[in-house]
Amino acid sequence: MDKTTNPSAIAWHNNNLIHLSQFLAPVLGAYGSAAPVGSQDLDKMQVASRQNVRSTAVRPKAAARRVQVISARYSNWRDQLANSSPSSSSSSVEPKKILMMGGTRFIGLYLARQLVEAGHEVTLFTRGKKKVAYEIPDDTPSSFASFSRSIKHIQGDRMDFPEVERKLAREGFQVVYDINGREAVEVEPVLKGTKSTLEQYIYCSSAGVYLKNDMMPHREEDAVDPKSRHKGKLDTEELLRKSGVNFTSIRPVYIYGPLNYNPVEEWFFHRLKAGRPIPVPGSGQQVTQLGHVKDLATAFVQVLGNKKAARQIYNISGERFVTFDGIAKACAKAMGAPEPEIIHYNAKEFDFGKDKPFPMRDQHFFASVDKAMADLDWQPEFGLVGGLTDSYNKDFGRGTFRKEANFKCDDLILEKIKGSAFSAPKASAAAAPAPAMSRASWR
Amino acid sequence: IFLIISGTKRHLVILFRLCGVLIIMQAQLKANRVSGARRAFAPAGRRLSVKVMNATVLISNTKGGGHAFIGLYLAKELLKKGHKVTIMNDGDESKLTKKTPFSKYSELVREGATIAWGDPTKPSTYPRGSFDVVYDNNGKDLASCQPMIDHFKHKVDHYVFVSSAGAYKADSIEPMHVEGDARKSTAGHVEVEAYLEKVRIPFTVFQPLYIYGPNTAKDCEQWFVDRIIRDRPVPIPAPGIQLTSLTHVEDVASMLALVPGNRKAIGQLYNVCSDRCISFVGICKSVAKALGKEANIVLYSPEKVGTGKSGKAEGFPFRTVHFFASSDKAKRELGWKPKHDFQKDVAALVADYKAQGRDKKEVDFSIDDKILVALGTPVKAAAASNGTTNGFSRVSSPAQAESTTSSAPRRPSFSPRRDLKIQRTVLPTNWRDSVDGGEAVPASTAASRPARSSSVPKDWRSAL
Repeated sequence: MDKTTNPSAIAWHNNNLIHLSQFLAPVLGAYGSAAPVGSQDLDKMQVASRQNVRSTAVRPKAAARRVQVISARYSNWRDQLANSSPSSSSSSVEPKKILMMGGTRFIGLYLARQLVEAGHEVTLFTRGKKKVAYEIPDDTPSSFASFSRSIKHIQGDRMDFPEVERKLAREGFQVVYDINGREAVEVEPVLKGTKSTLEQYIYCSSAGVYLKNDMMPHREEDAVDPKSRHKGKLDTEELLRKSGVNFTSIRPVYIYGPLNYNPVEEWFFHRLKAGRPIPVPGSGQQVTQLGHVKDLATAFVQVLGNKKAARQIYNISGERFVTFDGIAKACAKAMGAPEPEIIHYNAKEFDFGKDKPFPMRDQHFFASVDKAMADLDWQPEFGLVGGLTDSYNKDFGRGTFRKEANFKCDDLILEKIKGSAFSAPKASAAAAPAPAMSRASWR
Repeated sequence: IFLIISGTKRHLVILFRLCGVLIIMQAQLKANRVSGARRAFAPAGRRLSVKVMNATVLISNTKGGGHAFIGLYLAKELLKKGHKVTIMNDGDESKLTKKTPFSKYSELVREGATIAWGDPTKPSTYPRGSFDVVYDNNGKDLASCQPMIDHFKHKVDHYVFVSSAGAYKADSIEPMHVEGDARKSTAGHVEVEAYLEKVRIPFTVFQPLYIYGPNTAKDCEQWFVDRIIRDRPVPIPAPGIQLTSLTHVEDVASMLALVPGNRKAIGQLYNVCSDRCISFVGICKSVAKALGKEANIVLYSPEKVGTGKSGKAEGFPFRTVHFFASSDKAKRELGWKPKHDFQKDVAALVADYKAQGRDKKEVDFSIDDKILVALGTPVKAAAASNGTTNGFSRVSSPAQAESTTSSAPRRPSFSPRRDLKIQRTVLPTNWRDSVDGGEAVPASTAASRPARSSSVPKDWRSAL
C-alpha cells in the first residue's frame, strides 16, 4: 500500500485484529479479559496465546516478550493514528473552544459552519451590526438550525483594545481565527486576552504582500513588499512571529464565491448580463489566480491542530492560474452567456479618478499552493468554471449582488476606443427594471 | 487468517508474529509521515518501490536542437548514481564532436561511459549488449521513434521517451500546462505515446520546456545577451509579459535520472520544468542587470510587422504565447526538486557567454533590422550588422550621449526621439506640427529626405 493513511487498510487491520481477539476471549477465559477489547487487553491476550494454560506467574519467554513489544508498538501506532493523522485533522482533532474575530461577512460564514460541523465550539467576536447567524444559500434548513443553535457571540469592537482584552479574558479560548485583522496593534489585545489558554493563532493575511517579481509564481519564501497596501498584514505576521505563539498565516490570492463583497466575479457578471463588452487593461494576458471561498475555509480548518503548520505561512488559492481574458470567458461560461467581446485598452491613456476600471491589479499575480497541498493535506475542490458557476448559481444568478453596476469607466474607455459610434446597448434598458432584491438582500 | 485458525496454537503464534511484522512496517511508514523527521533508514514504502541497482542504460541522443545536451548531463547524473551508461548519438561523428555538447563527451568516457555513434532509425547500428533502461532523447514522431521501440520492445525494464511540452495545446484561459491537458492534434509526440501504450512496453514520458545551461547546442537566453551586450534594441513580441519556463539542464537531468528502478513512474507522463517561470521582459532585465547595462526593449506585434505566424515570431527564440507548465506531479511522485533559479544563474550564463568570446563574434541581426525598420525605428548603419560592430560606438555610450545633449539647446521635457529611444533618425523639420494632436506630418518624400533616414511614424505616441 502506498498510502499509509489508507483508511481501508487501517480498517482491515482493525477489523481482523478485533475478530481474532473476540475468538480468543473464550479460549482465554482464565484471564477474564473484559470486553470491549482495548489495546491493553490485546497485550494480555497475545501474551496469553503463548502461555495459555500455564501459570500466569511464569515470566514470559523471549518470544512472548517480542510479541509484547510488537503489540506495544501497535498500540502506540494506533494512538498516533488517532491523535495526529493530518488527513482528517478536524475530525480527529478533539473539539476546541474557538474564537473567530469577525465571521459574519464572507470567509467566516463558511469557516464557522465547517468548524461547528466538525464539533468545535465557535464564538464570533463582532460589533453585532449583522446577525451572527443568518441563512446563506449553501444552508439547508436543518444545517442552519443546528448552526444557529451552536454558534456563540461576543459583542464588541476590536478596535477598542482594553475592551477586547477584558471580554476575552477568562473565556478560555484555545484557538483564534483572526480573519478580519488589518494592523498588528489589533492582534495584541487578542493575544493578551487569550494568553493562558491559547494553543493556536490562525491569521488571514494576503498574497498582496509579495513583492512584484518577474519570476512567478509567488512562493511562501519570496520577498515581501514593505510598501504594499497590505503592510498591516506583514506587520501582524511579524508580531506573531516575535511573540513566539504557535501561529499560522494564510495568504489567499483573489477570493471568489457566493456572497463575495469584493466585486471580483460580480464585476464580470454585471457586464455579461448587460451584454456589454468587457474592457480589459493591457493585453489581457496578465496571469492571476482565483480561489473559491469554500476551499479557503477548508484550508483554514485543515490548519487546526496540524503540527506541520506551526509558525508556517501558506498561500491558498485555486490550483490553476488564469489570464484576465480567461476570467471574462470563464464567467461567460459559468453564466451560460455567449463568449464576450473583450476590449483591450492602455490604462495610461485614461484618467479614471477614484473609480477602479478593473477589479484586479494590472500585473501578474499568482502564487503556488503546493506547500499547502503537501503540508495541510488539502486540495482545492473547485476548478475555475465550476467555482464561478457555483458563485453564479448561488448569488448573482439569483439576482443578488453587493455593488450596483457602474459602467462609468467602461463608457470612458469604449468612447475612446470605438469613438462616438459606440452606444450603450439596449440591454441597459433591460437592466433598468432591476429585480427588487438587487440591493444585496444579504445585508 | 480464518482458515489458519483451525490449525495449532503454534500457527497462531506465527500468525501473530506476522501480523506484528506487518504492523511494524505500517508503523514505520506511519511514524515517518507523522513525525516528519528523517529516519536513519529508508522508509519501508520507498524500499518497496525503488530498488537500488546498477542499471545498464542506453541514451539515444539527438544531433542538435534544444534537447541535445540532455544526453550529456543525464549521462553524468546516471554515472554519479552508479549506473552503466552508453550514449548512442545520431549524426555525423566527425562534424558533431567539434561543437558542444558533443565535444564534452570525452569527460563522460573518463567517468566510464561508452560513446557510440549510430542511427536511431536503424537497429543494426545500435550498440551491442542488453540494456535495462533506454532513453529516447531523439525522436519527435512515430517514424523516428518506432524502430527503436520495436527493437527494445521485450528487452528493457523501462523505456523513457523524452517528448516535449510543445505538444500541449495553448490555452488562452488557463495557460499553465498540467499533465493530462489537451494536446495539439499535429504533435508527433502524441502518436509515439499512443504507440508505446499499444506495444505495452513499460514506459515513462517526459515533457520538457525550454532548457538553458552550459554546453547547449541551441541558444536560449543567449539571444538576449547578443543584443544587450552590443547595446542593440531587443525586439520583443508585445506585450512582453508572456511567461515562459526556463529550466536548467541539470534539473532536467536529475528528474530523468530518477527513473531507473522506479516502478511508480511506469505509464506516467511528467512535465519537466522549474517551478518558476519568467516573462520576456523579465529575462531582458535579468540579463541586463548581469551585464550592468540597461535593456532597450522594443515591443512589437509580429503579425503587424509581418514576421509572425501562429504563436511564433520569426527571429525570436521562444513561442510568443504563455508557455509554462506545472511540475508538481514530478515533485509529488518522483520526489524531485529543482535546484536552479534562472535569476541566480544568469550571472554565470553571461560569464560563460563572454568566456566563449561570443561578444566579439558577428551576429546576424537582419531580422531585427527588418522589424525595427517596419516600426520606423531602424538602428543606424544597418549595414553594420553585416560587418563587425567592433569599435562602433553607439549613441547609448555615455560619452556620446553627453555630447549630443550638451550641443543642442535645452529642449522641453518631452521628446519623441528620446521617448521612442530612436538611435539616429532624422526628424522631418516640421515635426512639431504633429504634436498636441494636430495634423500628423506626412512622411517626407524621397526627394526631400536623405536616403537612409526615416520619419517619425504617425502613431508614435501609441508606442509610449
